[in-house]
Amino acid sequence: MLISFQAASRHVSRRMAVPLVSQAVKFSVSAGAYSSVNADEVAKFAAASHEWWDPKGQFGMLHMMNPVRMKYIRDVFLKYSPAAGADPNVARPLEGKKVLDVGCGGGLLSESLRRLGATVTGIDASSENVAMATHHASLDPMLQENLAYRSITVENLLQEVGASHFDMVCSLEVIEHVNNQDVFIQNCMDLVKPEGLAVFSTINRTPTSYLLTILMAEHVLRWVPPGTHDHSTYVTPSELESFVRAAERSPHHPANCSLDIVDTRGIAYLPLENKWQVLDSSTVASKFPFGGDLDMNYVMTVVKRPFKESDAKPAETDIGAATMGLQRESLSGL
Amino acid sequence: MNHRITQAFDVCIVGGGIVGTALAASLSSSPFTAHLKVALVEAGNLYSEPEIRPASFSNRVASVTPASMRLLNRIGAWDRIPADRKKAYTQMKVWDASGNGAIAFNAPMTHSASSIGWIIENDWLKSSLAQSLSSSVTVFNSSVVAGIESPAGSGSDWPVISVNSDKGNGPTIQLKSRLLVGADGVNSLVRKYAGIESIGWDYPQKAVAATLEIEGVEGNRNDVAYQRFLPTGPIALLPLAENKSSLVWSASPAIAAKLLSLSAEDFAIFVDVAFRNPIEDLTYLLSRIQPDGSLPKDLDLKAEAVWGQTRLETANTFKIGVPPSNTSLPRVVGVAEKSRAAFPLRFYLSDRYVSDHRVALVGDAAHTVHPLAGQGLNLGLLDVATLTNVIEEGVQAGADIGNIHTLQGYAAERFAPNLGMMMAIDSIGKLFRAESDPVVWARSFGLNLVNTLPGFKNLAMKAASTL
Repeated sequence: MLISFQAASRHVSRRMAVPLVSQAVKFSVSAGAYSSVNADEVAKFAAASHEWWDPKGQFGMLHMMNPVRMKYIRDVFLKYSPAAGADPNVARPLEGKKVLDVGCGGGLLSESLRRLGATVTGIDASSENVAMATHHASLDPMLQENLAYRSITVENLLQEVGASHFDMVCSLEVIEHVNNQDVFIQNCMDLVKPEGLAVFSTINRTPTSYLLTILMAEHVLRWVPPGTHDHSTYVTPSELESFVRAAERSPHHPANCSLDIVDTRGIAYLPLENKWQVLDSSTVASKFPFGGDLDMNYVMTVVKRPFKESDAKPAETDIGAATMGLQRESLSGL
Repeated sequence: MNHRITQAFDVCIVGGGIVGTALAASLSSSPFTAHLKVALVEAGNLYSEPEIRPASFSNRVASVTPASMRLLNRIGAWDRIPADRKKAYTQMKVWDASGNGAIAFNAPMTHSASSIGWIIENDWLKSSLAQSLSSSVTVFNSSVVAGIESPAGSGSDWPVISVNSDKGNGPTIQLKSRLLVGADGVNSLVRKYAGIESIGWDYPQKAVAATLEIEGVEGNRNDVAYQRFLPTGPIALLPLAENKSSLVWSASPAIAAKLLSLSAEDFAIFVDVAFRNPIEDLTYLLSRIQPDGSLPKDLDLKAEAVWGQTRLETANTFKIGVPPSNTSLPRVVGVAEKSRAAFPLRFYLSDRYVSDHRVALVGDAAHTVHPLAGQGLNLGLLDVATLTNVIEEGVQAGADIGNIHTLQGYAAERFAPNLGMMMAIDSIGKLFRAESDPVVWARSFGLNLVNTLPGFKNLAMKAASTL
């Protein structure tokens, strides 16, 4: 079933890509410098805050996805951060690193980051979520230190602690719930130290994702409550890339750094095995013969890379460039 | 007044048998989990010394498969067992006393090891594992679990285990743990706490174990394991040393009692009869054993035994009860003093291996099987390997390792294969207890068929030894 959706959507997305993308471009350009917080979205999640940690609750899918996301974060951190080359076989590879979890919700990701050794700040616009996260963390002796939650927006945090503060900024499955997505990305990138990383994940805006995340997941299978997702706010990889590029023009962005997108890949749910999996090229070939591995959830890693004297502006070497080629060619005049 | 101290652990393992100690050692020796605080609670003495006198062996032994050997090696326990206390066997001969089915397995067929397995005393397995524990493991030796509770009210769902040291006479210590592992055997307290049901039965059989002196071994290598299926239960001879083997004879409680009551010399002859004679001889001779364990004066046991063996070899057109070709069964010439004992046999299966209250079960607490296939301990060690893996992956994902999402991976991987093996063992046992002719004929046919088809035999060997 999944395969035939992919096949059909590939066909459809070529023709639909242009109108969708230009719609999105108009949306972001006119947004201006408002806050990224979307009050309705915040309220929606705040109402569900007590369900965050129920393994059978509405966030069950996120729980299942978490180990996969964590493994990815661990892998890219070891590969791209200054600690790269360090022994990958340590239990706490993030020891001593300052990490920000933007849109932390009930603390699902923050707790995992803390257990890998990081000094974690989790922020969420909803104070109910922050209360839930704080309470849940208090139940685990391993989480008593170096983990703090705050109910604050990312722009206010930036004003408070200043730019270039964190070794890594993560914002997973959040951007589709905020207004002014370009400003949001800019604020996140500003908070990253030079040589640090940002990891973003979201859902691509494609017919496939409408079919699966809205029609199937919300209405037919009821894996999440209807209204959890709004298809128009999904972000395509090229839009996300453009937000990242735009962030280089932020007043807080250091002149001697560039923002390099080093990795973009899909995260798929395999229904027959009831698990999530980060896709790489070998998986794409075997499980999704019709391609389109970025059609649904995907994750993108950005490095704030200081120029070396010998560098010209580095060319893109990422996987994302090749696979996004299809969508890129339908973009014009961005 | 008891001074209550609550110590917090990441993993609390209740039960310091071979499987529980293996799990503690496995976690403490893996780089990803070596930092986890592990508690190991054992009611007996974890550090009891195994037998060291050469040529003297305990009567509780296990057959260790190559997969189990790899786990023990990784932990660093394998090398702590001296070479003369782990006997490799390269062939296995299995045959039917009531039919003519026979099958012989040779090690090179398995492709993965030079031996089918090793026979090792349980005490040595436990001791080598206990010595492999690192300082990240806190051992609560000679400590009895007084109770396990879920603390109410605070919202924390970490189980609290109350333990009394000094075999239960000492003060109560309270442990709370992120993950509670039940390695406490077939009557597991942890399983009861988790509300997991155990279904099964006690077999109407006991296993008579003994250490035997043997001779007449081909090439003096004693690297063959023998098993003959009798209607009353299988009898197995497992090599321990050049002229010592371990006996595991499953029989009804009545027969077991009779066998234990015999003198040492008579017992040795009965073992020979069980392996070499037509089945009617054994039935007849067993019936002549008197209540005090002696035999009637008019019965010349040795002569009866020899006569029967000759009949089996010569006057036996259909080769009923004959071992596979090229088998030279060793002769039993003695029984080690005080080594004879009988143990209950059971089949129990837990309906779940994990619970969403931070509990996982391993080893006999999760599944108990008949020893006829030598698999029980190996299934437990596979549980240990899988659970260690699952915990390692959980640590790498920054997970709360007691959470059901992490633990489910362990149950998913072990439940079905363990169940499959348990059903197979139980079915084989039932199959060979039957005495009706059609069944005997069918199983003989089946065994012989498998014996002649290398593909089938390879598969069977692989499944049994490289699980």
